[in-house]
Amino acid sequence: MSAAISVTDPFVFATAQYESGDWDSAPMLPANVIDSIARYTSLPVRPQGITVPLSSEAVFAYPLLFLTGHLPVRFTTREADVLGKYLARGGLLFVDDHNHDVDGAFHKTVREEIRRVAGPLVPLPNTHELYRSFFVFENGPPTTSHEMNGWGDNLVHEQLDAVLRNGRIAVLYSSKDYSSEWSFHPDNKRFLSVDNTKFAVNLVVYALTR
Amino acid sequence: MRAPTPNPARLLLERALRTVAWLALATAMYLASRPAGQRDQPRTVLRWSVTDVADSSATALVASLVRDVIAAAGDTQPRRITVELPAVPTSRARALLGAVDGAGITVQWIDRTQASGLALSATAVAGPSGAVDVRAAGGGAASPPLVLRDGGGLLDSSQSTGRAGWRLASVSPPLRASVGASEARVAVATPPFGRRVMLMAQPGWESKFTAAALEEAGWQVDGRYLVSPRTAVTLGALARLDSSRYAVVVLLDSMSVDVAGIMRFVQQGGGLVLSGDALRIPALASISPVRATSSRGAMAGALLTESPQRGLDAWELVAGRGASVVQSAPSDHGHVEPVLVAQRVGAGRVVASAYRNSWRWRMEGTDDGAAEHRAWWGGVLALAAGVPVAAIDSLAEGFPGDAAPYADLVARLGGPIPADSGGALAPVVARTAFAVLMDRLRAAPGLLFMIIALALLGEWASRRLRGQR
Repeated sequence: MSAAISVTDPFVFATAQYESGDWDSAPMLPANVIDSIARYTSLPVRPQGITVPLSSEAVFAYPLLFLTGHLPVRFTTREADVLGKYLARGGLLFVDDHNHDVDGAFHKTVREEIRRVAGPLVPLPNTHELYRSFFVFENGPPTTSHEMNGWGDNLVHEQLDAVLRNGRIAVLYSSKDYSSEWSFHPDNKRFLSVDNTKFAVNLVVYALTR
Repeated sequence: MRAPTPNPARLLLERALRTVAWLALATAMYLASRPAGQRDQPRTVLRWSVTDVADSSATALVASLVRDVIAAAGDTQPRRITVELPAVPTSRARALLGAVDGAGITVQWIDRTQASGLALSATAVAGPSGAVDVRAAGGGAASPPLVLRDGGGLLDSSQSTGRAGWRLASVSPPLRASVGASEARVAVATPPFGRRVMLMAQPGWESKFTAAALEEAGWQVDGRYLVSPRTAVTLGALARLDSSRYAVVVLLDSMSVDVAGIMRFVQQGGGLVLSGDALRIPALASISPVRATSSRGAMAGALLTESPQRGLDAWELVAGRGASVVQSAPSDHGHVEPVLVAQRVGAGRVVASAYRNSWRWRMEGTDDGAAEHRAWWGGVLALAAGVPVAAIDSLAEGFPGDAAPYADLVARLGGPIPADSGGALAPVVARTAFAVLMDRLRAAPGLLFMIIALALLGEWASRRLRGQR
């Protein structure tokens, strides 16, 4: 005998707005990630993403937070305080370097800020459960078409970095420029032989289940 | 012819012999008419040394007691002994005194222990943490401090109201509490406890943070989340639901579940937590301790107050007959409503929690929110899991009275008698010469007859020799 199925509160994709830098450099990314979640999973998801100021305690309502940009990042005291509490309570911050440049200003400054707030980033093994939480990525994070486009450091970044707390990812850092890779209109996925947003589904499923 | 005047000394002897005969007769009558209780109550006072009292060797103790009883009683068996105790006897000594008392020899005791009533209890907390709740009572403001020790040494001390409580993360047995000369001890044995929880929920923040809180509290959480019609994410090492594997099942949503399996699990002794929308699963209504009538919204801003639970969406609950309301909270209507209700079902327990999205307590509450959220879920699971009953022997080092030895002594022998009722407390015997004489005469009843006969014969012979009848 089984009981009827109901739904939980829908997942909301939240982008962090910070005072320094260009936090809104990938405006199409949320819609594309939301589309992939709806397309591949049965998770309830809100059709529109949301932008949340990092200085506001409103971020606590969104346990998965996306942060990107090209420019140097310096958190204000308030932003650092809120982010520290956010991570301590169990939130997951996904940071992507829109420059895909390990010598770039964003990379250097945001990693310093993460170290200040959450501790040092360490390489995440490519065998981590993140790469199997929904789709299976045998070789770790999928390579993007932007990593060797002549801009940035022109390298293929083999691993992601992370800050782990209690065995869970608290901060996930990418130099692979998923901000460019996923920032296109969802309708254009039909022109791709392989959907390049599948890893975003893994990230959301991991955040919701681990 | 005038009779010769008798010798005055002879007359005195005759009167003395007659007096002796009368006294012997009176004594015989006294002994014959004396009440049995008086006859059988020689006063015996024993004084035990600290070594005797504290000696854990029952053999030495028995030998000491027998030697003292024999020495005190002479050739007669004492019916009452009074023991002067310089310290609270060990468990074996108390048992021995109780046995002597139960065998017909009344044992009284004079309290020289300078001890006070002291009780100690240790209860394993229901949960995987292995923590122990300790309660001690004894002493008071004017007494020496209440000191708590375990096998690893000093733990804490308290000098306030004579009562103290601790939650210890770990204990090295035996656990001991002392106030001055009084000491109580228990050997804490954490009963075997299942640490696994099966979490049944849809993937979401509530399931994620509930699992996180339980894992932080020490539970091993297994679960399976259906993230697409053909894909499930497994948490932990999920196994078949059975009360030998899992202590508790936690249901967070009104989702598709194996109702028959869950009901069988509860009937066999497992715990079930129905939280939030799981209270609305119709098929589980028969074992649910509550009826969820309607939902009420969260009070804006309440998560940052001292009553953060009002900031959570919740179901309004009506407790069923036989259910126990564990916790209530003020509602929007101004009256108090149950939010946590428990009920026994078969050999197991079912706990209902009203809150639908407790994860907000952790994420959006105060800085203490994460700890409070963890404590809340730990408490809910403790209600559902219960603690297996452990044999009392394993909790009290083989002798239950050790938890409160002074009280145990009083229970066995009654309260102490005043010190001055013990008389002079001669080291061994404090009986009068009269009592000893009476005992001797009672032991040889023919002696009085011979005394009477000889006295009367002597008087009669003396009178005849001087010509009198």
